[in-house]
Amino acid sequence: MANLCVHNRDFGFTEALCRGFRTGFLTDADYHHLTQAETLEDVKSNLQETDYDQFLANESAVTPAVILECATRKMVDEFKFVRAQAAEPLATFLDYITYEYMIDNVMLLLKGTISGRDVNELIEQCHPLGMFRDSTMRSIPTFENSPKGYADLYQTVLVDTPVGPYFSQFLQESSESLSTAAEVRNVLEEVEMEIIKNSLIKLYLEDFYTFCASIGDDTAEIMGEILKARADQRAINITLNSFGTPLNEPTMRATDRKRLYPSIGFLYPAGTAELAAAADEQALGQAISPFPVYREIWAVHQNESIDDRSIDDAFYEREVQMLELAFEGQMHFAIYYAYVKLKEQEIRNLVWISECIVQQQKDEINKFVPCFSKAAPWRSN
Amino acid sequence: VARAHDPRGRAHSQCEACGSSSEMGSWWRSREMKYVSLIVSEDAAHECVTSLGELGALQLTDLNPELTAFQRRYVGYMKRCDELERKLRYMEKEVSGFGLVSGSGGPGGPRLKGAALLDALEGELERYEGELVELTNYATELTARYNEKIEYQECLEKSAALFAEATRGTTTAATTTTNPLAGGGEEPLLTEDAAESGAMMRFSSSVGVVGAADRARFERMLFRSSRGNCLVRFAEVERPLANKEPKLVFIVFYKSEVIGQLVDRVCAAFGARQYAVPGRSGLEAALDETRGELADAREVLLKNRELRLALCAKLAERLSGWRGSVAREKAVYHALNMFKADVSGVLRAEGWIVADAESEARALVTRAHAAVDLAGAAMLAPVAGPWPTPPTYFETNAFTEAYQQFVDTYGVPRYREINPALFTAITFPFLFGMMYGDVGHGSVVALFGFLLLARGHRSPDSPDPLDSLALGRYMITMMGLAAVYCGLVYNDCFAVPLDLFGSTYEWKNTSHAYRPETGEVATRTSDEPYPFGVDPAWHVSQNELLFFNSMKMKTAVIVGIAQMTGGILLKGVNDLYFGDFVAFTLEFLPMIIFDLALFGYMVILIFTKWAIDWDDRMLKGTCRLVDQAYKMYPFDDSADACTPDGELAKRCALDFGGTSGGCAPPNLINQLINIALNPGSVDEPMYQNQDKVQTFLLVLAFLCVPVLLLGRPAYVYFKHHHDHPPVDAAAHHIEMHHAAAGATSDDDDDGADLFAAGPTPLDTTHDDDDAEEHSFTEVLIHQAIETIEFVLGMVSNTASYLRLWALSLAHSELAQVFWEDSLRFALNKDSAVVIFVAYAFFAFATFAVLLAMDLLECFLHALRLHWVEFQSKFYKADGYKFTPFAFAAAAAKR
Repeated sequence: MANLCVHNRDFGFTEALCRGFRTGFLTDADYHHLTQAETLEDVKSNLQETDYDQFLANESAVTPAVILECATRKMVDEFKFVRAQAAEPLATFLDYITYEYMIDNVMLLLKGTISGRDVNELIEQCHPLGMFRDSTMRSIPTFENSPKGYADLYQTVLVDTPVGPYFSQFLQESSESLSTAAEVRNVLEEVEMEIIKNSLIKLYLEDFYTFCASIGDDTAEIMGEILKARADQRAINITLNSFGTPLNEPTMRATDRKRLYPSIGFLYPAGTAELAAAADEQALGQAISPFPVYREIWAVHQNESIDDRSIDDAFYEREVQMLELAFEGQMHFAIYYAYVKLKEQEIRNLVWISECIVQQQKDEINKFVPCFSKAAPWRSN
Repeated sequence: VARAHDPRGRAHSQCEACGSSSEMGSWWRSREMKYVSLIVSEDAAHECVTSLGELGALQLTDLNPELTAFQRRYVGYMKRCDELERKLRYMEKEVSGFGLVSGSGGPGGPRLKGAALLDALEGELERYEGELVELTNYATELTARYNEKIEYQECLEKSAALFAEATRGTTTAATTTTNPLAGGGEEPLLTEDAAESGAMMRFSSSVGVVGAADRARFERMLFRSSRGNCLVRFAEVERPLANKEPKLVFIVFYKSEVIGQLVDRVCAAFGARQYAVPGRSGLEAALDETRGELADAREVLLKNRELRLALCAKLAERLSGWRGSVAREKAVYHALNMFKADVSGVLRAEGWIVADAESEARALVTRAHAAVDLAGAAMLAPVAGPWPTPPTYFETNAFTEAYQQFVDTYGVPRYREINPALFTAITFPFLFGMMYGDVGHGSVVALFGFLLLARGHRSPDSPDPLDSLALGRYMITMMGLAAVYCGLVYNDCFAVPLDLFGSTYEWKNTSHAYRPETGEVATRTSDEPYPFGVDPAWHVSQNELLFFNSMKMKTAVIVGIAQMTGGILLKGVNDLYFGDFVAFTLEFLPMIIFDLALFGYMVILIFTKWAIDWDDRMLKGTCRLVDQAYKMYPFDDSADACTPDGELAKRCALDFGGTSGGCAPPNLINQLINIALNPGSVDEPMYQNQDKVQTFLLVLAFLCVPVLLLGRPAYVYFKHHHDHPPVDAAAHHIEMHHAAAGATSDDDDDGADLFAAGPTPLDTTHDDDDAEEHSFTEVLIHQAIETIEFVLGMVSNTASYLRLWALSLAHSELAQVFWEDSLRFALNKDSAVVIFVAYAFFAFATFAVLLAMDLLECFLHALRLHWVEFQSKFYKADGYKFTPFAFAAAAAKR
């Protein structure tokens, strides 16, 4: 209650900003016009009629990559503006949102160097929300791809960054299990990367969840729901993607794979315990069938060949729905998270549409998940 | 619903009758508009639209609302304009990088037209942009090269010094090893090794340059990655680099190759360039060589800078001209996008044109076509009705603009409706003055207004806060002058009365000073009234407040009722103008009668009381003058003799009835209240038969209410049932039908129209009946609301005008407090220090409270009186603004 009394005093301005940004989302009509476009120049002139306005005015040539870059820049500018106005604990909350992008960027750089790509090129691909200092970014790929290299990376570079704690926790946990599976580990370069990334995200989600719980009130409740759903999505996806990889081998199921499941979520702990034991898709479907939401999503996966919708689409839809709902409430922080994530979804849609236009795949063009759409399945009935 | 069509239809015929409106009328009613269609040949379209844009009297309707931006006809040209604008922005950035200001004016684009202009501009800008990009890229390259040379030279010089320092005392150097994580577990190896062996040459070294801001992190990173096994030294780069970035020369000493690799890696991460420094022998030669190279690099860089500067200076002159041309082109194509291409080669547009400018626009269009030998192809002609609602357009000037914006903020006047701004321009400053009345404060406001006038027109977007007030410069001056005038009437100057003409009062018993506190009574020294305003003696009298309250309240009510009556009269004028005789007889007449019978009479009573010589009247109520009174008003001799302690009515020589018989001044408030509460009797009458007159007026006023309430509904009802043919709404419906069929229709006679339409299917008529039934209840409810609002509004609005008195009272009381409690108090103390402090307080309080806060308050209340009390009487305010396609407006917006 006390928070309700002073919420508007402390966060009223940022909330108003955020709700103002919400009106900038593309409408169904905008999407309709975009999908009618013949060239990217048409997309550009259509976007001029929307909140994006002149965001491409200074680009001489339009490509999907340019659209991605400029749209992301616009979103990041708006986010940074809100961040600059934020008081505690909203400021920390907003920082937490960026940690995820930092983890993504670190992993992108590490992966990129394994495949031997140029650092500058990689840095350009990094998400601007998760940027470190240039020198930090450049030193990340200089470490070798081994447990020792990661330890060095943490000790010299990442210790200064906000994502350092996740890395140190990961290193600590992996050194504990190092003795048991050391020989297997060296074989899995690519898988290793995925494991690192999933572990870091898992740690991040758990940390974020705890932080939101510490804020309390509606933030804890709404963000809790959203983060739990994300945790479940990760758990299901990790299991699904592990089939056919060494992670699915009986010896690793209970140890390595199970350790990747976040210890939050609707599935945790009973559901994840069953997931850990699942050896094939059928078992996975069995494991999540007690949860009606996931049963439906799983049904989408099973009908993928018929309906042409992947499990990712189903998850995106569910996420968009939850994030939109966050805007229905007031006096909580979830709208900032929802804003960033929905904007990200919108940018994905824009890129999808422009890619379809470039590649002349007009029949695929409507396969995106619009935000705040009047025609969304959860609104139409 | 029924009402909406009729007046507008008449309005058009009225306009044609009155021909071109007189010059005077252009602010009284909005300019006449015509809905025209413009048909132009595609070849001459651009030229036509350009000249129409210069004329700026045509508001185009978008005929392609269903098309999105990129489906439009001229989208290609729009894109080219966008691209040109992008180039111009790039150039502007470069130009402003040199601190050059792009000149206003300039020759602009080449004297070409249409697509040719775009082509020429594109060519020209392309060339310049290419040149600029090339030079800029070259500059970046040269700067990098120059910086590299400087860095190298600095490295050579500084490393020599650092080497020398390191060799001079290995031990000292080692112990001062910068250890940013002080107290780290491992001791630097250098200490023991170097000290023991003393063989400095066993250490390898690396020299380079790093950004000064990165120093701490660079050091920390080196320490962490080498686990403390290296020694770093820094020295500042003294020569300024081309981009002025502060940098540091560093030298790292380390022992093993492994650490060397680590150092290289860290350097790469920080973007720190490493330089190979030759041994002590080659140092001098290398230095000499670099010095020469540096001089060359510097020269080339300067040359490039000169070239760029010259180019940018050339561009700066022309930028704004180009920008203007591109903006115009863009505006033209934007306008052309609203044209519809029904037939190939011909474009059609529709829009509103100022009626007076129609022939000029037609001439322009014809001329544009004649230029391409298509003289007959163009056409600009009024569209056959029914037209959509016309926009409202007033031509304003520096004086009227602010007042027009005032009124528009509340609501844009309906087309051809009387413009309240015309009256606001005078009454607003005056009502403000009545509340703010003080010669001193008013003069300050007027002086501020004069200052703004002297500064003249300024763009409201400029950062100077005074400029944002420039729009209201005339208004502020007028407000100040009105306040001075009212201040003279109230005789107030910073709460001190001015004895300009010599007071006609005197305190007889005190020769030295006024001592009103002792209860002495002042006597008049002359029968002449004080020439202008209030006699200053009132300001020092004990009954000052009583006197001023009475005067200000009465003036407030008089002014208020005058303004409201004016508003009601304007409604009558509007009704006549639009030919709405129903509204005139059934709404306006009852309203004005109600207003005059109750409130106009109130004003008459006030003036009556003022005009009566009460000294004389009261004398007549005393028995001393009873003889004289008998002479003046001879009546029955047999009446009772005058008894001094009897009832006043009996003593009074006049016989007006009531308790006073007319010999005592009445309490006006009671009298006014009693008109309604106690009709038929007057306690203290002022003239013969006052009670009868009042009863008559009251009955008259109350009779107006049912007329107002039921008049229009009854009219609608009877018109429907007696004449059987459905009225306005249905007729209008059919009329629309006609118009669509291509028949011309005049709404002279609704009934005739209906019959002309031929037999209508029965069920349609029935539907109309239903609609009529529905609209009747609507009219009834609407009229009930209007009536209640008007009747109650007249009472509450009259009370509302008392704010003129209330704010004036507040103002004068505040001013008096500041004057008496600070400055006058201090003056009486006769001490320079006290006066100094008190004046500061007085000045500050006067400024903050009276000149800032009270000014705004009076401003807002005057605004409210206009918006609510005045405009509610007649103002419809449901028009929309005329937004012509005009280059001047587009340029101003940029």
